[in-house]
Amino acid sequence: MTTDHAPLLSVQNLTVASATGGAPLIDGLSLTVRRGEVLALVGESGSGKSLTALSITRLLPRGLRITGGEIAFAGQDVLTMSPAALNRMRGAGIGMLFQQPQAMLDPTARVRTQVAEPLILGKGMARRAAFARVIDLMRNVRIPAPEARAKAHAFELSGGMAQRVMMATALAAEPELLIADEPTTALDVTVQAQILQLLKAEQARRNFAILLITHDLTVVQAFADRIAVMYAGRIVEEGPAAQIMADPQHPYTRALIRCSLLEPEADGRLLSIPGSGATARDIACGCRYAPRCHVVQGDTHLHHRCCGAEPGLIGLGTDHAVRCHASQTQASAA
Amino acid sequence: MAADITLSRQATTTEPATPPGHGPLRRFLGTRHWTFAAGSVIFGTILAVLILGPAIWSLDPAKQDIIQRLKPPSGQYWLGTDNLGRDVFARLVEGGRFTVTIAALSVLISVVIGVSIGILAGRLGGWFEEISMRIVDLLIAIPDTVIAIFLVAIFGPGHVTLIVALTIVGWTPYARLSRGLALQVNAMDYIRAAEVLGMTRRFILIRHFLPNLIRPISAVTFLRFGHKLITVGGLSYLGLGVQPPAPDWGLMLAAAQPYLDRAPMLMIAPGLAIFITALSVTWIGHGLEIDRTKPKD
Amino acid sequence: MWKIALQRVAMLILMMLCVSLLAFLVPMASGSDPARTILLSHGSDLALDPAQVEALRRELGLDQPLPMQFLIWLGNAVQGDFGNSFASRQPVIHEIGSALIVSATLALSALAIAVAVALPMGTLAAMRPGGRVDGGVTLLVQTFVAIPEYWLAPILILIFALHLGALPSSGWFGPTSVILPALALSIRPMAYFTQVTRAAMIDVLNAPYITAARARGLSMPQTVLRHGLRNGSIPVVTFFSLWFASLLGGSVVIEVIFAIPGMGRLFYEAVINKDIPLLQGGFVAIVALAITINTLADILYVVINPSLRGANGR
Ligand SMILES: Nc1ncnc2c1ncn2[C@@H]1O[C@H](COP(=O)(O)OP(=O)(O)OP(=O)(O)O)[C@@H](O)[C@H]1O
Ligand code: SF4
Ligand SMILES: [Mg+2]
Repeated sequence: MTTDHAPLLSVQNLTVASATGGAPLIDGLSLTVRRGEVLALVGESGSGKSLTALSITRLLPRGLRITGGEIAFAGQDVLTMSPAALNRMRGAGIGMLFQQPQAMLDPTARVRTQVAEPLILGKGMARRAAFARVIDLMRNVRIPAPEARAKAHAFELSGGMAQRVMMATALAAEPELLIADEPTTALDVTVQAQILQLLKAEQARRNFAILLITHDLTVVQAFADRIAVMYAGRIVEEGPAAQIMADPQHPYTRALIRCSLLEPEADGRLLSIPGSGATARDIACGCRYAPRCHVVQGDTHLHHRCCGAEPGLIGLGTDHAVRCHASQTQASAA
Repeated sequence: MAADITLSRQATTTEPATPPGHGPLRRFLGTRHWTFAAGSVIFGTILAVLILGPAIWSLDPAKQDIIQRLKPPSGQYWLGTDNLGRDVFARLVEGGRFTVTIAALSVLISVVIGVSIGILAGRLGGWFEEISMRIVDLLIAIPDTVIAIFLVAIFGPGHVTLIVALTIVGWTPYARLSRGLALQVNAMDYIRAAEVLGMTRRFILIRHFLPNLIRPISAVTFLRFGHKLITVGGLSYLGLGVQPPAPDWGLMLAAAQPYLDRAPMLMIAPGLAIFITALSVTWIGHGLEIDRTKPKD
Repeated sequence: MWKIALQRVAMLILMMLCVSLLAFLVPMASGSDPARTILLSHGSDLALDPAQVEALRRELGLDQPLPMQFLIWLGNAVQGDFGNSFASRQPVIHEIGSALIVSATLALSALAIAVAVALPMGTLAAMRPGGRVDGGVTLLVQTFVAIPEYWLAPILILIFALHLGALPSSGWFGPTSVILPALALSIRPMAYFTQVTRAAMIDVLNAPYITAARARGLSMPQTVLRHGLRNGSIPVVTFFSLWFASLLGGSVVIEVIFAIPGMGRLFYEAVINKDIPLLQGGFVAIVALAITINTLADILYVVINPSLRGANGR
């Protein structure tokens, strides 16, 4: 089944909702990650990026449910997997990094206990051999004095160091996919760069795929192969990184790029997208972005269309798609 | 406007959806956890029996009948008779009046003293707060029974001593709780908002402080009441509380000890009475607590 | 940090002084004359010889002014000398020592039973808060809280000692005699431990590091065992110490029912016999132990929770 052409991870029409009802938090989201590639999932706070990541590994918090769609990892259906198979997938198939690395470490356990778990519990390695391997793994992610740090507790580590520990853990079992949910957001700028360089180096060396979640497009430009832009629980634009960065089609993508890449405005303010970040819950009219979209403003004809119906995902060329009525106009006009 | 700002957990401004069936009682019970309703009904029944029982059934807890000693339950003696041939049910009702009254009185006095000291500590601060809270720490560290027994050693056994002793050990939780609430309320935005709006302090107190105080205090009161009941019984059991021939539940249990094998009902009945009463008030307290902390949806 | 520790120690000493004063004064205030009590408990004839009483009063130092008496008493108490028990004529400190060992054994057995039941029960309830198991556990906790231990004890005696004949109904002579009293004593702490464990585990299981552990491929049971229990047991440890302190002197009724020569019964008998030195010594000992154990619990709390050590900059 798993030919080289089949994607490593495929998410189709994923819907996530609260168990107590209400509009879905993720609504018909689709994305694919191929072997060895880096897909950046971009979007502002509250758009549902973390929920997407947690859905893929079936780790949604209590109270949230996957209510529809399909998720396949390495040709296996994640949604119908047995608990044991799920544990195997999380242990060996997919590694995860999170936003708050220190909070992700058990405050009462030593670092090596946690890094060794995928080896001891997942691969059945002996304790002593696993601890020796932990030192190697920690050295790989450039942790200085790994022997001492292996015996440390989480509170004795800096944020950057804790994220390196998380990386060592995530990569311990040689996963095929690494899901990194804003791995550098909570860190200092200089540390951010180091972590990202490390991530890139490790990826080049071992050739695993990465689903990189971020809201910072400068990160994306540096090393994503493809980009998926998320808005209010849906993908609004998807395509090759270079193409999207050079020629974004969706008004939201354009605004995002302007925000993160442009110099500050003449008056020293950083540009920001007007309006507040929408979650999938506050749907205004057809297109979710309409209330904040600058393209639609002043164009009565377009306004009618945008508010009337939600735009579908329209393919532009081989690998680029966008969810916008305006771009459809452009495409059909071209 | 100010009334809309609520204490994150204590104050629930949710209008409960009217449950099926009408009437204020249904609505009142329907918004609460089922244990509240069950506890209320059981406790209410117990109170009714204790209050009205002697009048309805013309019970005589003191009448001895040596020929009828240690009889099993029957039509005449619902719970059998004790070693002196006295009616166990009659004694249970009479004893319950003592046990429940003593526990209730000590809890009520504890609440009044504890809440007063707690609020004073929270509002005044300074040395008063320091000293009263140290005393609370100390009293909480020492086992209740030990303090109670120590006091009995001084004043001699009897139900007045018992109430004093139980109050001395009992006021601390209320002091802690109400001091915490007073501190919280001190820092509360709506006090400032209400002050800005020119409302009087009395209005603030009545409108915001008291409701925030009453809910948690009443929950704790019921939860502690069960515990108090058991302590009263325990001290009477030891002969340090209610003095014979008054039939307290704890005394009845103690008196049943030699006849465990021959007349187990003698032991089972008073213990069961304490247990069910304690359970019912615990349920009431639990129901109040659940309602208090129920997340708003 | 040292300053805080010193403050706490000073507070402890101050508290103990107050308690000692109370212990010293209060039996005096009860109006009984120790000399008469002693002679009554020893002598056979009811008419006391006033000269004899007077002699004993002088011997006991009761003719001194009260502050003087207190200082002498305190000086001796600090050295562990509370005088001799009126009833047994043994040094109070010896009586307390042997009773403490008995009570500690009983308390630890009861708490061991309580924890052994409460940890799994509280954890199970916490796995699905609001679920059926949780509801059942809550109901059980409420039931346990409402059971008087002096009722459970005779029921246990009735079943296991009188009917089955499997266990002794009273006395203190080896492991079998511990079981029933420990079981009866364990019921209430069991309920509270379950509640505390449940609340702590609900918090812990929502913690990010639990999600992270699951993301490393650990099953739910593995996660709970390796990362949940230790974190969840931190508040339980504090609770354990509090209960240990409380049961050490407070299991009076159970010790009386089962005729166990522990601290609680010693104290109880001191009251019944108006045995003033024993009463004073017992009270001071129980309070001192309770306060000390509480302080130790605070220290233990830091030991088990390494991140607090970091906060205090060790
Ligand atoms: N446990 C939960 N219960 C209910 N709603 C939730 C829960 N977790 C998240 N949400 C909601 O789901 C939406 C998406 O959350 P998510 O954490 O995926 O956002 P995100 O894109 O990762 O944002 P950020 O950049 O801040 O991490 C948000 O509106 C959030 O409020
Ligand atoms: S569909 Fe309309 S409103 Fe939505 S992004 Fe495109 S132009 Fe803006
Ligand atoms: Mg997120």
